[in-house]
Amino acid sequence: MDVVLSKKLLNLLRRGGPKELMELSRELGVNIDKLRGVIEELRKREALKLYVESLTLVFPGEKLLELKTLPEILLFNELKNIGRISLRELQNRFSYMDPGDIKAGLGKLISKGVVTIKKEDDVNLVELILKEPKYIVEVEKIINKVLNYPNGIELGSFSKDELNLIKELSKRPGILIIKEDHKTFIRKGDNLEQVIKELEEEISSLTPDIIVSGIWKNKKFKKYDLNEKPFVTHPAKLHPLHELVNEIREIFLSMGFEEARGPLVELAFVNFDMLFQPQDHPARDMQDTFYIKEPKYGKITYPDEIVDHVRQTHESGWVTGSSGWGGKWSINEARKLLLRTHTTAVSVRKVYELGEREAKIFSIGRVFRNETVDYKHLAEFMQIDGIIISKNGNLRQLMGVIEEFYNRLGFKDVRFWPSYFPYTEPSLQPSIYVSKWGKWLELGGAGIFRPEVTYPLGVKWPVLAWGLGIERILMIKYDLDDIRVIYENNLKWLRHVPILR
Amino acid sequence: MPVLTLYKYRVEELLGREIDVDTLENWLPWLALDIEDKGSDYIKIEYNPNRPDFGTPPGILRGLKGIMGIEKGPPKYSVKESDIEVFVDESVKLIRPYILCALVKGVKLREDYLEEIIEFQEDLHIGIGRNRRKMAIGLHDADKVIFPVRYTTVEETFSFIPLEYDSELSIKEILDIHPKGKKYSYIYSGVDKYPIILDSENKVLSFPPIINGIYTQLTPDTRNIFIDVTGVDLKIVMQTMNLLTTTLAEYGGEIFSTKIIYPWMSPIISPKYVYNHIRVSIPYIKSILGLDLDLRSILDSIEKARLGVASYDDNEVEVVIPPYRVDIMHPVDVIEDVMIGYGLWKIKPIKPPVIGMGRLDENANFKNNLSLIMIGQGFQEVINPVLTNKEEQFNKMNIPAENYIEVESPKSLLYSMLRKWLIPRLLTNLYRSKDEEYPQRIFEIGEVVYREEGVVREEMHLAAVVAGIKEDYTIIKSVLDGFMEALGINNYRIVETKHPSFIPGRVGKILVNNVNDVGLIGEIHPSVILNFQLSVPIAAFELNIDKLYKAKEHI
Repeated sequence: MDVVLSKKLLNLLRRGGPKELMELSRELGVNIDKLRGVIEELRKREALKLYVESLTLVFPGEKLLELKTLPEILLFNELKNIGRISLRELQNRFSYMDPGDIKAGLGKLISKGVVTIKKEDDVNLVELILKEPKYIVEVEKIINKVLNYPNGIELGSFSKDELNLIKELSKRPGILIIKEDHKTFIRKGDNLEQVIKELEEEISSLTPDIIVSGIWKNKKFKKYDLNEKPFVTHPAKLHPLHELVNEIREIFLSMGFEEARGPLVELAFVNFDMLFQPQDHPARDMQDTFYIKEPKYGKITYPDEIVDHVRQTHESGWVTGSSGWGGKWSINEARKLLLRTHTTAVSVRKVYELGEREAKIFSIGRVFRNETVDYKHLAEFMQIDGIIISKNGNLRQLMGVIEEFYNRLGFKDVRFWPSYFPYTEPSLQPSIYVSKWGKWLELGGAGIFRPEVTYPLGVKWPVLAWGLGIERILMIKYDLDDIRVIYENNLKWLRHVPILR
Repeated sequence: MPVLTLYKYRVEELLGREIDVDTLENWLPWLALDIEDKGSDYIKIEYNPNRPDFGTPPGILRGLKGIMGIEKGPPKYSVKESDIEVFVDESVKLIRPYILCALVKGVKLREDYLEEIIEFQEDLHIGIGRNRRKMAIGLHDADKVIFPVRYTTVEETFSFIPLEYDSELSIKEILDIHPKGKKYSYIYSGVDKYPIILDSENKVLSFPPIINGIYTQLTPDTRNIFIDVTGVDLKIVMQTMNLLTTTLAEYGGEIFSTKIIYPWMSPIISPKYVYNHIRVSIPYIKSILGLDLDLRSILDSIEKARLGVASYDDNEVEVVIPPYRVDIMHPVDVIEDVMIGYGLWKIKPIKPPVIGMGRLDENANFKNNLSLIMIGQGFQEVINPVLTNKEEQFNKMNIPAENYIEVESPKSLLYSMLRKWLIPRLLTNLYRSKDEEYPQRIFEIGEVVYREEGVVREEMHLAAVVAGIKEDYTIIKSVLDGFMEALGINNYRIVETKHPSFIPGRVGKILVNNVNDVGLIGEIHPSVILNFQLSVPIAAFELNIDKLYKAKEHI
């Protein structure tokens, strides 16, 4: 939109009454089509109103347009200078005109008593009688006015006397045409002042109008306070723990690991016995492990042979080269259902499933411990477990893969101490350096599965394994001092906690 | 894990030289000991249950001297014979069949020593003794005992003065009112005779594994200790005897054996130190550790771990295990000791060769995508525990408690069962977020567990709730529509149903392909809203996404 034109137009309307479209176009000196566009835009914004009126208009006829005057005027003007002239001579002087017009003009002048025709010496003489005839003055005024409005002028703008003359003139062919017509008028709208203000001011809110109309081209945009906090939004996000799980999954994927899953409700056989945890191990007590009340027992779906090898390994070491735990191994104890206490249960299932095949497997999932919940402990948490089944797997590779894993999680310094887990030997305790806390933190456990674990499952290759609870990592990353916050899901925390990556 | 405080002065006394706490702190983790705490003159450590021999300062020093290179190879312990006899009565056989005894002479029981030994005894009880059930130890002032000793049974009316009391209590009274009796009485539930250790004058040494008699109580003046170890597993009892007496030997004691005479088997001379041998393949050591060690360093590492070398060649080493090492069951256990003896700090990680193609679980990916759809609809994700309680799952939701999975003996009743559906906890989440700005829109994807025809079923569910003054069925339905559209599922509809958690006429089942009942959608009943101490309208849906996943496959 043309802001300058809009402003001019509106100012015009502000000062005066309604304006006819054509008139405006002339007054403003702009092309009618361009003006129409501007008017339409302003109308939408209610800066102005349009209305149409039916009018009787008078237009210049063809002849009038051609002559730009009336024949009688031409004749009169000629006679004014010379007073009298022979008709022939007069006709000769206006020979470019239609003789009919001369006749009509002369006739008019005669009938209005402006001239008279005398016969002298057989010569017709035309003689001026009135030096300043009212008729000519009036007719000339009308004609000039009409000629100024080639698109017609309203009859109402003429006086009663003029109207009579117009009627007279319209009877003559090609002089004046009277016809009914419609005219568009423009007057100020309710928002005129507002829009003028807007046009004059800088643009504050950008609106579809402003964009499409092009107002913005001639205006400045209002400057905003870029640091203003107008209102708070709460973008929906993944839970931070899920975010971390995804990060870890991507790390495992990038390191060539395949993801595995297992059930939450697990057989003691898988959770403990396959992992060579003796049946009277304190970790198997109800004090530490959640057993299922009903159904108390599940079905061991492993082949009898495998179950028997596990039994023999517990009792006497079977062919593993171990002394075993001694005592009697009870299948009923193994059939008990419990909530898995570690995702190593998923790993050991995979060891059996895959057998002696080079493989890198990981799993992430919930694990359960019958703990008293406090700021440091949960009864249920998220654990990851990674294993590498490899013919030539060794301790240093295990250290290497864990180091790489922690590096990728953002912990640059990793070290290992000896440790103990019932199902790994040697066992390692990885620690990471948390630079912002300036201290080493134990994170997870690692080791090579004992032959007592893998042999009964048909795997003599080393199986490198490590695992950790990941809430600890979240606590480090978010400086949490109470682990329970993670599962409380208070929106106060969730809405304001930043994403990890 | 058992904890032990190691005082600087004790370490220096045992080491024979000065050592500062920081140096100690650097060394101890290389023995697989965890530093719990430290002060200017002490360090508190945690030791692993496989190494009960670390239960006293001298026990730890045995290991420490090894890796520091001060003493190598297995310590030598010898036993002298005594003429002490212990007679076992047939009646103990079905109750607590085994007893081993020993005599330790010339121990100076300094007050700190006494404390250390008692703490060690307790750790053994808890650990390999499995809370005294499998094994228990009694320590007595040997000079007060008139030998021989008998291990027999008595009735519950039998009485004596137990420790911590100054008058006689009957066995029954001990089990009922004595703090130790109350704690361990479960061991003898359903038993009508109780094991007892008596001297030849019928003075009570011990009512194992509950409490000793006051008569033979240890005092700082005690010089000679008589030990009884009773239990249900002879191997454990023997191991304990070895652990205990070799440790007492470190306190300067001279160990004497006793003869235990059983009616149902041949007599046992106890203790008898057997230095077991185990053959370990050299290539096995190298390949497990990933280290190309020369034979000399392997042998040196073994000795630094306080194991011995009986013989060796290029392929195999025959390793000697001292009697206090109860953890070595397999050659691989020796490999760990090689690692410890060699020094794990010297073993550097290597990058393993890349094997295996990475692959993510498809189901987990599906779950992720569902999360993204919900987040796109403005829902904040929450993650709640699977463990929950009946009150929340059923009572507050106005529905009957059925087909749910309970756990045994939970430490807290708040975690007594597995969730059957997700919406209830989401309502609790709303309650916790009561003071936060509305509308609140949250969702969760996670496991639910229930029982069906006697079998445990696990499913993955997705639940979403909207809460706020303008939230209602139409809102949650439009969310569901958007969700389904994003999944490309068009042929689903809602069929009105009855569900007491929801407002009648505003709850329905979600059917996909007209048959698959994949979930529930509706406006939460006002009474349920009030049960959760909330006061805004709430609408919700819950979907079984395993079924949805299958339904999607059919599109």
